[in-house]
Amino acid sequence: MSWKIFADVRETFVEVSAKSPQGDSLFIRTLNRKDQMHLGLKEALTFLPEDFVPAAASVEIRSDYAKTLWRENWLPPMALLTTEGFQNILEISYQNRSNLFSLKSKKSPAPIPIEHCFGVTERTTKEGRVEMAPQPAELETIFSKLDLMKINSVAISFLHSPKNPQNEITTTQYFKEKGFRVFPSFSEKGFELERTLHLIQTLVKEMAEITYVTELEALGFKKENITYKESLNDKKTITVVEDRIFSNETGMELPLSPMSPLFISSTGVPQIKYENVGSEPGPVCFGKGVNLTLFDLLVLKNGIQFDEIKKLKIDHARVKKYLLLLSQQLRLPWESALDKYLEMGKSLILIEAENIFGAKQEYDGWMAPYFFKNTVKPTSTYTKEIGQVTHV
Amino acid sequence: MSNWDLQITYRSIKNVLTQGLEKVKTPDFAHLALYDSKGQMIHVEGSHALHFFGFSQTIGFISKYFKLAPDEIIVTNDLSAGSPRLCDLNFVSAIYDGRELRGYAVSQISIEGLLNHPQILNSKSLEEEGFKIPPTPLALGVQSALFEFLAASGVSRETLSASFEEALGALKVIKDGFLFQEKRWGRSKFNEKLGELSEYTESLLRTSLHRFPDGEYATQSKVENQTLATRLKVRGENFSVDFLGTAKAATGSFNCNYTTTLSACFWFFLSLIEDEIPINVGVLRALTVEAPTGTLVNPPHHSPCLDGYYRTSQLIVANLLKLLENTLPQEFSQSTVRKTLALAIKSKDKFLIQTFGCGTDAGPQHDGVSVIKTGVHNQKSKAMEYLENGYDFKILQSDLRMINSLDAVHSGGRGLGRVFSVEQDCEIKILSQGNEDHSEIIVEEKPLKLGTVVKLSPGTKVILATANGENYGQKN
Repeated sequence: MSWKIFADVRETFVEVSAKSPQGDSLFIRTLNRKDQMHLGLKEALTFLPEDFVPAAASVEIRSDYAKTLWRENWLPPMALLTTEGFQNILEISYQNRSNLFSLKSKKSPAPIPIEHCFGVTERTTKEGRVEMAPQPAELETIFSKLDLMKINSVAISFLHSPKNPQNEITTTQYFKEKGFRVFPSFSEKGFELERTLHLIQTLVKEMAEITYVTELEALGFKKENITYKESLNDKKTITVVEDRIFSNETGMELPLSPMSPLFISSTGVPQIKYENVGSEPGPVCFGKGVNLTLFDLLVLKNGIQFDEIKKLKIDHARVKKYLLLLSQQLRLPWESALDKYLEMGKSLILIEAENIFGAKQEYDGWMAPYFFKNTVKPTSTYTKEIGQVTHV
Repeated sequence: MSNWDLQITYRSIKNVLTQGLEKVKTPDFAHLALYDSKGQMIHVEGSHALHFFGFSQTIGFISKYFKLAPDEIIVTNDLSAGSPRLCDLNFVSAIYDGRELRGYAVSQISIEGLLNHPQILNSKSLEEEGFKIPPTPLALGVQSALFEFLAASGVSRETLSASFEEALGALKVIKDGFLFQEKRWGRSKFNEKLGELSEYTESLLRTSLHRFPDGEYATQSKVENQTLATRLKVRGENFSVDFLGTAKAATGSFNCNYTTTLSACFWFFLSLIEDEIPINVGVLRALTVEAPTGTLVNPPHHSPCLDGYYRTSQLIVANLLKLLENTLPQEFSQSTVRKTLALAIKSKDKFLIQTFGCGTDAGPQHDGVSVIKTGVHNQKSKAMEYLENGYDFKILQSDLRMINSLDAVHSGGRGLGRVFSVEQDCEIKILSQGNEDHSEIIVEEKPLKLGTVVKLSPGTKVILATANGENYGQKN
């Protein structure tokens, strides 16, 4: 028997459930930051007992790191090669606005900037006939540019490549021989833009995994004992929506979370925004955020302190101050506003879960643990697998 | 107002239609709507705002002339029964709980290929714009007859069959979902909540409209030398838009069907809110749109309307923008709306309409946005491979246009540059064009004129360019 570690790594918190060879269970929670999501896990592992031996431990990580990178457009440097004349495919995208009713046009930035997108003079016809093969001289020029830019990951998406992948294969081989990590699109589903976006996702997911594996290896863990699961999943047909949130295999992505901010509409109706304030500046109780969230209300309601996270001082007074302002607008005592908002949040989360999972599903704690357990006790699904845990 | 259930009611209803939309994948686009037993709109979902407000006419028409039995479905694309174009097929079904009528479900599928009538690009009557289906019960054998009738457009029976199946599947999802919600909340409470939701929508829209100062504001523009007059009347709580003074309906197809006129107006005023608003009967109560019968914006039945759907609808929005400039200049200065370039291509057995995004202007704090649809026409553009596979042309380039921004403080968004060559004899026509100075289509080195039909032979190259946005400021 060796140690088993289960880590749930999210934007705000990292939760680690660990089981020792003797069968003792531990629970560790640390604060995370979305721009360096591996740090919270690294910190959590330092709380394990002295006799913990990383080399003999197995680790399973579930994270939404890639999804966060994608959403925030913090993507690692990569290049896109397309058929010449179509290199701005990502910038052009579907051409539509994200907001149906709006006089102001907004568009999410392209996941790969224009200067990293290159056209290759090649063409495969819609019947699958290679009309023009890529020329080594042109690939050489592109290689030189990528080398100068210090980019070593390349996505390739040529028109009609699923009908005949020859040109993509040739180009893939060329860049692989040069030491690049190459992602051709011919085996992906869908038309060119869908395939390209999917490719980039795969690449981001792989990079997220590499980040964790590298960090853990540096701490003495063995690569073969590390399992990484990303909620940005590629097994289900991917739906790209305007704000770039993807549906995934398990449907875990709910549009509403405890970190969603509260607001009151211009006509005085209490509502919850379908957004996430994230960990920076975070909810009001963290001391910096100015958007009161459902999480703040839970913390206030239950007097939660997060004593185990030394650097996190929960500011209940600040939450109460913000809540008082909100409740004055609603002309309610703050205690009533708090309860009503929490009840509303729970109902909305249930409705959205029903929408994704279907009305007949049962919803257990892991989907919205803060609500269903009315607490911020260990929330990881893995907790179930290893039984009762002790806070570290 | 302090109602803690409003958002919950809204999301519950919205999700019913969202789930229905997931059933519809084959057509170019789809819309779903839910109405109560009195024919009042509960919610509508879809991607194209010009389709949102025709369903009330559909339900009004069908509930007047049919007594729908449980499981009975009516299909129609009749413009006088609320369809925006002849390629937009509405399927309507009543929702019963036992023997009691509880509401109506509508699914609309749009298959643009159904407009492939020999006269479509020069139509002088509605019959020349496609294949009209008056409201028809979808009884045994009717579906097959309809497929045969519609097949004259060149759209395959398989495509039609799959689209019909999906539309009917969506209807079932809406019906089941509505009854589930009604059961969950309890019928009377549910009705009460829906009532509150529509009041909320009405109050939200009224609050937004209240920003317009009292008065009467008028403007006009021309479409093919015909006047399109638009007037805003604001008196306290009362807010109306009318088109008095607009020219009579035209013989050409730039008439704008009433439901399209209505939807264009609602799109504009709902867009001023800049926040999510539940779309229901409350919208219709907050704003009155008066379009005189027999005019360009409410033409007689059987008037051709295809160009109007693309062109006149955008002129209506342009007129409203002019009025916004006079009344709320601050709001106007932030808008980025431009007219959308729309192009129709017709070969013997295929018909395609495409709309294209353009670049938007830069401002003191920001760059412009490249290739984006800024107005009421906002549907997703089709993939290059989809277009090449399904139609008779080859796309040689689809890229951002060049823009000179080296010395600009903020760069304007870049327009689209596309080059394609046709592989079969076909005809081409610009249905709508904005910013005529900057956006153009060139065929054999000659600019194509708006509304003119040009014949193309195999090998002809077409160059299309949409407008770049203006730069802002100059670097020292």
